[in-house]
Amino acid sequence: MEKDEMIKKMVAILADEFEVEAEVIQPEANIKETMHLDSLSLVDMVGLVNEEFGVEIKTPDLPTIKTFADLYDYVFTRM
Amino acid sequence: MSSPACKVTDIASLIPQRSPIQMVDRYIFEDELNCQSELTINEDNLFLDELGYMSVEGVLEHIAQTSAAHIGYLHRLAGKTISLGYIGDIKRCAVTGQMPAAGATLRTRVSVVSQVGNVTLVSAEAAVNDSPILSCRMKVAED
Repeated sequence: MEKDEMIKKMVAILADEFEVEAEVIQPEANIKETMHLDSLSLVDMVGLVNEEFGVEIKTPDLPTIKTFADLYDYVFTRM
Repeated sequence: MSSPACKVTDIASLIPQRSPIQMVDRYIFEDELNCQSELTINEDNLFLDELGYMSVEGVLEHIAQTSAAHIGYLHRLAGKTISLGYIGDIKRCAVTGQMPAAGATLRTRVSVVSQVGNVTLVSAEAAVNDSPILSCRMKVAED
């Protein structure tokens, strides 16, 4: 899967799961603020990424994933 | 950490609930991500409705205790202390069959979807006589 294709799929599933407009999911936007994630819903995002892309986000890595661009890079380099 | 499938009947060593609120009789460890459990529903079960059928809340409690038992078992394998578990939230809950009556055996499969810190997201399906009756996603937070 090309990175552009991965990003398109990621945006679609995140927008659907967290009920936000796809347009607000911009690469430099903060993930937690944009999708209103708390410590409980963060595990939903991790599960979604695991199921849809086969990439397990390790708990110690989470603090390094602040923006959607961080997330795309993390997932794409591990697919 | 994986070990062969193992049945645990000493549920009290994995979860704090005791009769009459204990909703798991047998816990079967499959691997780090998967387990099963069983509950034979007694006539004095607290979650039976006035017609003698298990309530949806009872099945959800059974799933929560199964999840907590699995997390506790993994802690035991790792030589860690077993913590209390709480339901964080429940999503995608679908009732797909008739709730069981007293005397039936509820069998549930739980799979870990993801884990972040002390919060575990599981996917669960409960069945009676191999017929699914309820599925959901549940978050269990450890104390």
